[in-house]
Amino acid sequence: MTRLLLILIVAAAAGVAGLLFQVKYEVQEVEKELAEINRQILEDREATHVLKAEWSYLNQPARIAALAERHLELGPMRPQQVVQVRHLPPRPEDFGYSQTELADAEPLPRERPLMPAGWQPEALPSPQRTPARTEGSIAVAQVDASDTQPAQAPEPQASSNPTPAAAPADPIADTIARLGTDAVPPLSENESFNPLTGRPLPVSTGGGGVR
Amino acid sequence: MNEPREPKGRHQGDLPSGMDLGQPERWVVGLDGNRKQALEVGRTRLILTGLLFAFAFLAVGFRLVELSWLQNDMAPRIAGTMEAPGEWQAGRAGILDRNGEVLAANLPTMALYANPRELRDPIEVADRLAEVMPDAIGERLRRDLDSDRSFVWVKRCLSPQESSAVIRLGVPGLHLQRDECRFYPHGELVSHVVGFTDIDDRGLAGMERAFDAWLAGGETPLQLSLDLRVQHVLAEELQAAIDEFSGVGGAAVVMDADNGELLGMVSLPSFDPRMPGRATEEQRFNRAALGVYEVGSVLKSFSTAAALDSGSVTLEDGWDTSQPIRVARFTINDFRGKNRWQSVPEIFQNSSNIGTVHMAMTTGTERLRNYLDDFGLLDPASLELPERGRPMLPNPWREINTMTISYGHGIALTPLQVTRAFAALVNGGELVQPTLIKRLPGEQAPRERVISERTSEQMRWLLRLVVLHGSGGNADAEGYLVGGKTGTANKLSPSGGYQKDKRIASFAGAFPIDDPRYVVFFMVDEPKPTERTYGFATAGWVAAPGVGRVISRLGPMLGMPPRPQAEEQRPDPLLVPARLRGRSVASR
Repeated sequence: MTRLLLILIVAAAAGVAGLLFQVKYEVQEVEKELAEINRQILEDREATHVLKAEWSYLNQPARIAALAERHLELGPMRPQQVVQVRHLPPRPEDFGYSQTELADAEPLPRERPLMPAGWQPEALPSPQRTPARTEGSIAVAQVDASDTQPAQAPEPQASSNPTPAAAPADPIADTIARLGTDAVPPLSENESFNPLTGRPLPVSTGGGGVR
Repeated sequence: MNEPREPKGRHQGDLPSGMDLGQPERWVVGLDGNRKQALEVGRTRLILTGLLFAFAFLAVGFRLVELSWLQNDMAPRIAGTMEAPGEWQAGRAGILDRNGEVLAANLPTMALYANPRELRDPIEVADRLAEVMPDAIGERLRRDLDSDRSFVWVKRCLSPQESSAVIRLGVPGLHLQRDECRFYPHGELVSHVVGFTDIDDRGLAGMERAFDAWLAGGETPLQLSLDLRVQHVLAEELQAAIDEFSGVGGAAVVMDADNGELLGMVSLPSFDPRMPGRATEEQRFNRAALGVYEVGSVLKSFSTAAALDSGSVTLEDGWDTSQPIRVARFTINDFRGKNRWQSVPEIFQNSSNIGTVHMAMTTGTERLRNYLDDFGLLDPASLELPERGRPMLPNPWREINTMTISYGHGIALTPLQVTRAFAALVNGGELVQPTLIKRLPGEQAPRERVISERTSEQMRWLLRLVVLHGSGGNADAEGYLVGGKTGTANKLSPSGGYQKDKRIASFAGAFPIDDPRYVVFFMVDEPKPTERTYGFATAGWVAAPGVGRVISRLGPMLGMPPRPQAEEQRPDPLLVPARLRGRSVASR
């Protein structure tokens, strides 16, 4: 009994000691790893710092501009290139065509989103629609008396280009009528509308114009 | 404990007779007296000690089991309480632009020093070093290395290539040491704003100096309000204008009209902040914030605003501008005047000196002066930069000064002041505090009302008029509705009086003028006429086109959609609606 107890105690002590050593070495190992990782983190942070500065150096606007000029066929954006979605001309769907009917035509350069239900093109800001200001004391620089009644300026497209709008059978004219096109003047075959100037503008057959 | 014992040996001599035949089975030896007591004490102590050790071992054992098995998830927490990795930190905080691009940063580099006493052949070492680092060195290094000192700096801030080249030389006596160096990735582009430091990282100019203590703390980088892209556009267009007209320099500023952030501030010629010592005084001079210039007719914007806001003049008034004004020995005349009666909008559009003087005299010296003071034109503009110019004002301020100042002569201002006052002119009438530090989202700039909303609106009409039909036509940028005012002033000669052939051409503009977001100031120093401009070197030919190009490039960059030109609508809602005696006065 006594011996057994003694042996047990000794065994336990030895076991504990062994375990202790093992844990100790494990801890040492882990600590070494930790120190290594910490060192690595520091190194990486330093490298990040240097790389950020280098990135900034490489991003000098003058350098980027030179590179862009050499490698890209892009130029500074001009205001004419910006058009709001609501100013886009109507699409074939608005005239009862569908894209699939144009399958044989020139491939379109871009995908179009589906037309939302009940969509109508919004009014374009056209010079003709701006009401003249008539307040008594107010006149406008650079406008002669004759000009202040701006005279419903001739609807350029309507008068100069006889359009299918006259023919009631024409689906285009119908659609235009349906869309309430005091806003969108009837478009001739090759003309669209530049929302910035209110002047007609040629339209590529593959683009946003109407076929 | 009272186990039977066999008292062989030591007790044998004490045995009673007959006992040596053997012991009976249960024979107890009893001790008495001192001996017994000593034995008892020893035993008790043994037991106590044993228990103590047993407890200790048990405790250790339990802790062991607990740590290794029961609390496995503790490890990360314990690791967390260990000393942190220690943030890598540059000795001096960096400087960023508003989009986070690095404008200045401390980089870890190597510094090379030598112990000349250890060098065997100093001259040869110097020559070999000179091959590796062509830009340092020369005579100074030879002399240093040949000396009898034990420490000589060869070069600090070695590039990685240089330090590896030095290591490859393998010369004993040369030593590398970790060091930090200030690095300016964008060099000349922002040097006047960012400034520079000395070799020991003390800020000597610009924001480096203004925020020296803060930057030396090294915590978080300083984020400026500058936009590197805006800065680039400004610098490029300003340089183009200077080159075209062979100017000696120029300044350009872009400011947010609402919160006073300076998005761009360029002064040319510029210098390389890495080598400020090699720059000339001229290059280091910040024309945008420190230089004071007569801005000429640009000042008419402020005197006209003062006249309108004080109520002494309305847009319906007008004067005869055909007669020059003669005061004492001065004669005030118009540059290519109209020689006829002109309304206030016409006076402003055609930049008539005579008409503006009439307006200023109607306003009165005291009131005009107070307005200019409210516009912040009589005191140095407050800004973070240590380099700020003090305006040059007439002293004493006589009536003749009021007259000349009304059209911009006899008062010299910094471009910064003009930009700030111009922002107040167009943004609804409030003078905002300009800043070079990026404002927090939603942060309101300190502001003070100078003129009424109504006057500000009228000024916007007039400024648009100048660009549409006046001298600022070249500043228009399609889609961005520019409004602004040109100003050409002759430079003062050192001997006093004005020089006929040396001018300052400036333009202050805002866009879009119906709801101004940004104010642009552009100034070219001493432009010379060219053939293309038909012999003119006035602001309308020199500064206005630059502003037009700047705005058409900045607009898309700053995310502003171009808008249809309102003047293509008739009548133009932006032009001056004024009618006088039955005719529209702003028309020709």
